Amino acid sequence: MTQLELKIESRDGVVLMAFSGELDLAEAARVEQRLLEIEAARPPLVVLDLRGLTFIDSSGLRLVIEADQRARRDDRRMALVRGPEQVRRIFAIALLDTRLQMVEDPAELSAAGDGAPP
Amino acid sequence: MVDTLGPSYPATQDASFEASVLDQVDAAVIAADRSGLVTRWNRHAEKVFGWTGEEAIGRSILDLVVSPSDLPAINEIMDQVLAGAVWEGEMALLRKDGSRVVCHVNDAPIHDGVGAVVGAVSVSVDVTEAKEAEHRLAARTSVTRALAEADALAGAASNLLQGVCENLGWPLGSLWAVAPEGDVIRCVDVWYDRSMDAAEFEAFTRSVAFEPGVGLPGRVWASGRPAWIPDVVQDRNFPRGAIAAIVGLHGAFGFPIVLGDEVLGIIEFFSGEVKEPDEDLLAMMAVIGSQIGQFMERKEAEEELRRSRDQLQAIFQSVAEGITVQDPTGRLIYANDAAARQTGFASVEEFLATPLSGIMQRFELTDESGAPFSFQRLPGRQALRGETPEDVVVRFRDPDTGEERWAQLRATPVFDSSGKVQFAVNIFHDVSDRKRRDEAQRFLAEAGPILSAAATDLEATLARVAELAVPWLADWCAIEMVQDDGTLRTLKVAHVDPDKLALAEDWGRRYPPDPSSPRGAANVVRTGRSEIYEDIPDALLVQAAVDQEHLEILRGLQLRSVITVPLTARGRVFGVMTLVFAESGRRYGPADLALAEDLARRAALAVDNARIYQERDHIARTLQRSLLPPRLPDIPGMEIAGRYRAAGAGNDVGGDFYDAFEAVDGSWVVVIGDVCGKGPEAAAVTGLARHTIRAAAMRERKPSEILTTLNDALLQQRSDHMFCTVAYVRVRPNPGGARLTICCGGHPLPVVLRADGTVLAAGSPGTLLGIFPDPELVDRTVDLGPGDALVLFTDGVIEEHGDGEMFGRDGMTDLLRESVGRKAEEIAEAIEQAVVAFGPAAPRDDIAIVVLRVET
Repeated sequence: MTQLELKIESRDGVVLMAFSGELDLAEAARVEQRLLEIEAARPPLVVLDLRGLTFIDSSGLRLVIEADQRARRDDRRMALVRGPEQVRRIFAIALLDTRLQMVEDPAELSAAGDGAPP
Repeated sequence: MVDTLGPSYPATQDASFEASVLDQVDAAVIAADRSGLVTRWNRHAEKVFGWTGEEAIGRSILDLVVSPSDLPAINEIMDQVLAGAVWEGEMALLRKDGSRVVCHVNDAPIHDGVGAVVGAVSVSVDVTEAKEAEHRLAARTSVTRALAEADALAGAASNLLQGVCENLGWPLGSLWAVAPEGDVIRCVDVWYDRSMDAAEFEAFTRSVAFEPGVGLPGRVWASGRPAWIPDVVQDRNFPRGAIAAIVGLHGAFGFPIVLGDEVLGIIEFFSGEVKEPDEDLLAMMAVIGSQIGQFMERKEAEEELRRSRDQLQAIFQSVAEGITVQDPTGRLIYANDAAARQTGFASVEEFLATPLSGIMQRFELTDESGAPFSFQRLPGRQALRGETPEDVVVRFRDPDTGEERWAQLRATPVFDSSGKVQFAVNIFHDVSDRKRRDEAQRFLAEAGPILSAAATDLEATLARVAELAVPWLADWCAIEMVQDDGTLRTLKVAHVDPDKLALAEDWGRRYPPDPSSPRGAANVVRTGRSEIYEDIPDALLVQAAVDQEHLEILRGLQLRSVITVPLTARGRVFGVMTLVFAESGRRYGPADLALAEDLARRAALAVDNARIYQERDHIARTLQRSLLPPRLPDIPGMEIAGRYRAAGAGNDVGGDFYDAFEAVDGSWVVVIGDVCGKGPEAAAVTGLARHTIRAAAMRERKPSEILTTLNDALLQQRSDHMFCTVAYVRVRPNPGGARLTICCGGHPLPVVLRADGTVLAAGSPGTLLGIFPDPELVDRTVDLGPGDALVLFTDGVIEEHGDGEMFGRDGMTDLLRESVGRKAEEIAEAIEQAVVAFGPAAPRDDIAIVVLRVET
């Protein structure tokens, strides 16, 4: 089981949190704590980059869903950079790819608000 | 001849002849008449005494050669000779110049023709020089002897002064030494002939201090050379002159005690007479002075050596390390108390009296790894060869007592000035305590993983602990468990010797411990307190034995030392551990008891944790079971099988569930779901989901409607985004098989396995439930024919990681293709086994499987 690594960058009002490893029940609480800290500064856009994820379970899904729900409630934006196949499939099965803003590359995003969720 | 020399012949014609003969004799020949008047005086007498024949003849011999103080003695001799006797001996006589001459004298009477004594003749040989040489030699010898017999000059001084005074005839001598302050000299000792009253002179001498150049000793000190004063009374640089005059001291000399250029002290001698300088005497005294100087230096060096040796000894005796010194032959020549103590000797003397091989034979020597250690390898041996050996740690075991000690041995060679090995110094640092601590730590470290594995099987764990204790902590170790009725059941006996193991087990069976026994395991259970028997005397065995055979068995066990410790959890003793030293002859001490208690505490804690864990596990499983149907219903014409397996140790309630039931319209419902997370929260959502589905299925038919109801219920009742995923299948059996309506809310799509081996996903993805108010949920219909199967599962089954180590979707497809023709139960079993077979990493998530198959 590989330890999950987080890399957090903040630039022009965009906070990018890049995951590397497995996001599961054991890691969810720690990641949520970091997300809450980041959100406390009310960044207009938080991007979760899932490209480095090798695994995500239902706890990981819940983490993402909750972050999205908080963003909607607080009138902020949250977006995901799609992960590898096994991670995409999980989102696809839950039909989350239509509910969350998902992109292939963080370059597609900017704080300005293009590509906003439906 | 003597007779012819009588005075009756003075006028014969042969007188000149006789006179010329007498003159040739190399001795002083003097004849005198009865009144002592000299009648003959030969030429040699002239040489010896200084008086010519003309001067002497006719005068009294007593006036000529006898000092007034000797008169009484000489008169007595004269009387004897005139009475007809002869006399021979040495006497000191006077010369014309007043000086003394020591002569060997033969006196004989002179008879007349009829035998009457008419005079005496005296033949004297001058032996002054010979005597003086003899006296000086004696003086030197006396100095040498005095020094040889003394430890220090202070002790030698009195004998030395006396010897010189007596032998040289100088009646008073004194020794001066440089005072500690270094700027004056003081008298250290005085000796004088007690026929002389010199007390006042002595007292004054002892009281004064002379600066360099003052008085006789000051002069010698300043010059570093001998000095001679013919008459101190007349000398102007002699502060004690007045008292010397009263005592009657005149001639004096002094000489330095020298070492190299340094004057260590001064010795002076006094004569009752005025004495002219005698260079020979002074030369001799100079030699004596340097002899004494060397003596003092040697004594000082010896004293210094002795002091430093005393200091070293004192240090050596007070250190905890054993210290021994070996001579080049390997013989022990020194040992301190600790060395004797550590090797079990009562005293250093006893230790040193024992040959090294004898000392070593008292022990079994092993190195740190337990291999035999030859005493040839002792570092002292190498040190004696001139090498500087590495420290070694050896274990000394006394076979008699079984006592073991570890010592770190260090040896260092000591070389003499020529580079040859003079000694080997050995230092024994007793590291037993440290070694025991290390061993205990190592032992407990080894025990750690075993104890932490207690969760799986606590009895097996305790058995492993017993095995671990042997042989390091015990020759045999028994673990007994307290049963519900309070009696003890032997769980495990571990023994170094398997034959003895059988004996011990047999012993335990045949002689179960008496629960009322005041000692042993039963007592430890009762009191909860450890017991230690450092020694087991035979009397104790006799006391413990129930009959003769029992006693023989007990004796056969060779019990030497025993520790029994309780295994206690939450205040209750649930077992005992007994450690026994038997054939190895070792003995337990307080440190061993502490270690055994530590081990027992850890073992008991591990076992207790395991119990709590097992209980919790049990509760979790019970709860989980309540979330699953007790048994799956029989659906006409169909087979159904379910599998559920919790992740890990299974002490947390999982979020997976499945259910199968008959709906109101005669259709059947098969449902599988997964709630995110684990534990009580997940269990609550699981319960909510299951009961909501059952309730909704009583009113609704369309699966999507039912899942929408569930979605609403979750949104209403939970604000914490506890979502779930569900695959809902409505089953309507028909003559050709069954028609299935499938709706998935965020759940992995079920898989259809056709009887021809085709594998395909069924249904359409839908939104997971409990998050969004408007989920997309789609109903799809699939028909199953005979032998066709539908497989529902949770994501734990197809969990996929990037490293591809998991069973996965492809694994599932392959497995199902191979499962064609198998019954539902067999397919479910095969899937479960395949997931589990992926090793220790799987399953991380719970897994649930339901297989529905149309009978063939």
